[in-house]
Amino acid sequence: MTVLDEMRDYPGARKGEPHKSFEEVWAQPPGLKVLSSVSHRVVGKRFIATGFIFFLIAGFLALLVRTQLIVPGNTFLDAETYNQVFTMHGSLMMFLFAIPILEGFAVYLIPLMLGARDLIFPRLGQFGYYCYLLGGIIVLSSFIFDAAPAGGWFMYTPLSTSEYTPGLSADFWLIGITFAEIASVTAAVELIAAILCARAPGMSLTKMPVFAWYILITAFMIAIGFPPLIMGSILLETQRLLGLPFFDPALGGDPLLWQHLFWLFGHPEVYIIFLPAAGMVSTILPTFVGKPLFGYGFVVAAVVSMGFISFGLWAHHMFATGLPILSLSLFSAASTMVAVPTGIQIFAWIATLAQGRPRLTVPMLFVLGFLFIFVLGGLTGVMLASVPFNWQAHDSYFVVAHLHYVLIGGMVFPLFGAFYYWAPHFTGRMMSETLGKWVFWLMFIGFNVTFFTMHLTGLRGMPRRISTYPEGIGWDRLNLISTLGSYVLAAGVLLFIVDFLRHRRSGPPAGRNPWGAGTLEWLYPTVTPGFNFHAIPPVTSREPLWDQPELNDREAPTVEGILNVMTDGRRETVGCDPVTGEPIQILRLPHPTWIPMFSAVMVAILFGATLASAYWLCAVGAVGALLGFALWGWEPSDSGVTRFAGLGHRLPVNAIDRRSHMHVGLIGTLLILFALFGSVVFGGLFLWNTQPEFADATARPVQLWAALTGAGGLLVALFAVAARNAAMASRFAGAAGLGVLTAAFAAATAWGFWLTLLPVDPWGTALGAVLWAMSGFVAALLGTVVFWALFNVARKLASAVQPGQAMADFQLAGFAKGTGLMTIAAAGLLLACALGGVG
Amino acid sequence: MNGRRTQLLAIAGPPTAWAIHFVLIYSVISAQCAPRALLDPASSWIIAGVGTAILVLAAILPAFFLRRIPERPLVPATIWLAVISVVAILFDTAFLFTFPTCGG
Repeated sequence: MTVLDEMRDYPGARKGEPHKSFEEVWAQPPGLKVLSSVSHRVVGKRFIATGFIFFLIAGFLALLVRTQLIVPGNTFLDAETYNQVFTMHGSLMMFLFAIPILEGFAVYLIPLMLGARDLIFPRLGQFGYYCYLLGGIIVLSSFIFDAAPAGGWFMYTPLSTSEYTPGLSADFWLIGITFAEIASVTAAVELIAAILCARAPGMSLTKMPVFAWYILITAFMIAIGFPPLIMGSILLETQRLLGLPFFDPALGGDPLLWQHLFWLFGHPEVYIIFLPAAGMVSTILPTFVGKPLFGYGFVVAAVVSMGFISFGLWAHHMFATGLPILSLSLFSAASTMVAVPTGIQIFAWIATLAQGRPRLTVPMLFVLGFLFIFVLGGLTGVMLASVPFNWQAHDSYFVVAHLHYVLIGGMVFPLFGAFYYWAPHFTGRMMSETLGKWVFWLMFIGFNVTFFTMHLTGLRGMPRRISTYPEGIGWDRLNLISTLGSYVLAAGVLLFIVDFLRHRRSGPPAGRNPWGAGTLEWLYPTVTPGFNFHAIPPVTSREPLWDQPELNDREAPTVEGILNVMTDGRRETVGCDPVTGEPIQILRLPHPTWIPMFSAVMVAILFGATLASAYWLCAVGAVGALLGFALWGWEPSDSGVTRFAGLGHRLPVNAIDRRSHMHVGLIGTLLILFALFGSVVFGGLFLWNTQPEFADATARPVQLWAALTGAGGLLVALFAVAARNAAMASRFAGAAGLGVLTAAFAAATAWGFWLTLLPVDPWGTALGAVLWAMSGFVAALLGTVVFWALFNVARKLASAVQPGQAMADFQLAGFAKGTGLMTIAAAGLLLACALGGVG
Repeated sequence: MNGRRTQLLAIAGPPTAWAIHFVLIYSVISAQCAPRALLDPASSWIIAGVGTAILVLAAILPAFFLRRIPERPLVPATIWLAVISVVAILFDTAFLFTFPTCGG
């Protein structure tokens, strides 16, 4: 590795460490400073380890549930404790284990598989991890305060409202889970941008490993699927804190609105959990069969169509709520339809198995276990998609059996297979094949004994969530068997922990590509160095280690590739065209920093202080978080120069382009914001349509202000675009002036919402409250525009921007266009209410 | 249209047509069956029928541009996405013409 002396034409302030070697630039900070690491390898492993700890806690809670049910009339747990235990079991498993741990694997593996040295928003990864950790701690701390949530992992209203759940238990859930979800959506943006914009030269979309397709679709699903729950949680917490009647039927609210918002998230979440695990299966299976995955195109089609169709299934969790038959039929049809792409994937796996003679290693056993269990879970899923059967089985143990077959079969088994498969990557050593087979069989037998039996318990009429039952009604023996099975399952998990701890010290060294895999993460001998690749090799195949002999014929550090030189003493990777994979830029990556952690702690204070009703402390947290974000953004720009990148390429650094990582990241962010906006608009339309008498009783907004507010949204976008154009042309004085105008119009437009809604009493009707919530959300976005525009102006006034460094203005213009569009849509709805009357 | 756009359209087009169709049918049912009763069954059928015809066409449109897709492995993906999306669209619509009223 050589350091090129190309710094004389570099106009921006240097953040690099030119005195250090390549290896030193990428080295992890020592001691406690490792907490400031932004490396995807470190952050990914933290997600995985933390997620696994939550899994163990939630699993322990499951054992408490099973122990309580082992015999009829048991008094091991009282009813309230039992409610807390099963609520926390579900909440931890779904929110703090399943998604974060899979994201952890994705964060860890995606750059290695795609030929990148890191994810391209590493600080966002660190920020997301600390949000997840602190959110999880908030949720768990409810046990310490004897305020553990007890309303089920779905927090249905009206049970979760202040009237029926006084105290803080529901608040712990709403605030902690919402905070932790920040990690999921930030990881989604990070993964979308990384997969589309940071691949090895030549890795077009169809040469991406199939795992990347699964993660890409999952990330888009998170971006669209999580916002309804985030918005629903904000509305419910607002109702609990301020008394706004979103879900109060006495004032035109509707408990079913919560269910819609929850399941708009909740059902796609099942696929958000399943798809990454299926991606692991599609990666592991070909390795042990020794052939490429059968039907790559079919699998891509199946994954993409599942990503869409899974959003049309949410109301099949609401078949017993009295929805019209026509609605039930629509959701029944969509629920049945999703079996088609799922089936395509399963046939692709079976066809892959049929292509060769599989090696029955431990990861392969878990894959086969997955196939067996998941297919059974899928079949009962098709049964439950049928409305008449669903009514019979509703809220019975049959549903408990089904969901565990889908979730444990579809996610936990592939996950354990993935641990055995990728463990050498984490530790450089192999886990035990002998112990691993014991782990598999204990888990497989324990699982089926526990949950297959529950189908029968459910068909015999045992309802979910009951803390005990009388003897002699046909449930005694089945529950006993289920409980004994759960202990066997737990023994398998315990043995896995023993094996994992043992192998770190005494497992045989794994060396290079121990499984003979074809994907790029195995290019280096394990443990791969922290920078992943000395030089990033061109890729011409989906299985480069099978099809490109030049990668295997020489020592990994000497493999030819792009970025074989380091410029400016900076961490960097190559940026590509999202479709073709052709290199288009050099991406500069941040070095270790404490700022994302500081920002996450400040946001935690903001959220946590809300629980304690210490609103002055909330303000401290909010100001601290804004300060953190400002420090985060206040850094010398890297754009505006080109550098030699090797293999004959001279590339711009951090190009300002619609194909760039920043623009793709912005699109991902806007997707989340539009989904949040769409969720609150859905709430308004739902209440308007289902509660017309309360809509009639809602006062009209002010016409003139609604019209002016809409016009304001347009002007905000126009000024931001003009500021961008001026900055791109290096007319910084003009850009600063236009930035001030952008901020001024954004502030005025936000104020316009206030004036428009003055006659509407948010405490009077639920629809009035939703109109305020919608406007408040858009006003918050306009506030972000104000902050961002003034921030850009300040940077120009401080001469922190040089010609060719208009990235911040380029990004703000995109954000302002999205915000302007939402402003116009919100103002249009308010104007329609004002002109036609809300009712 | 360049190859890049054709490729993205081929992948995203058919399921997007399904998504628009799903929202359309959900909206029609909500308009017909909620207390406001904004639509009668005949209007629902007309809107759903016309919408379905248009969106089926939209879902199969990328299949006519297979030769313009630069990366051949995406061709089967495009075809299967179109097939799955069209079947799903028709499946989601069929019951609307089966049940005469909201209550069945």
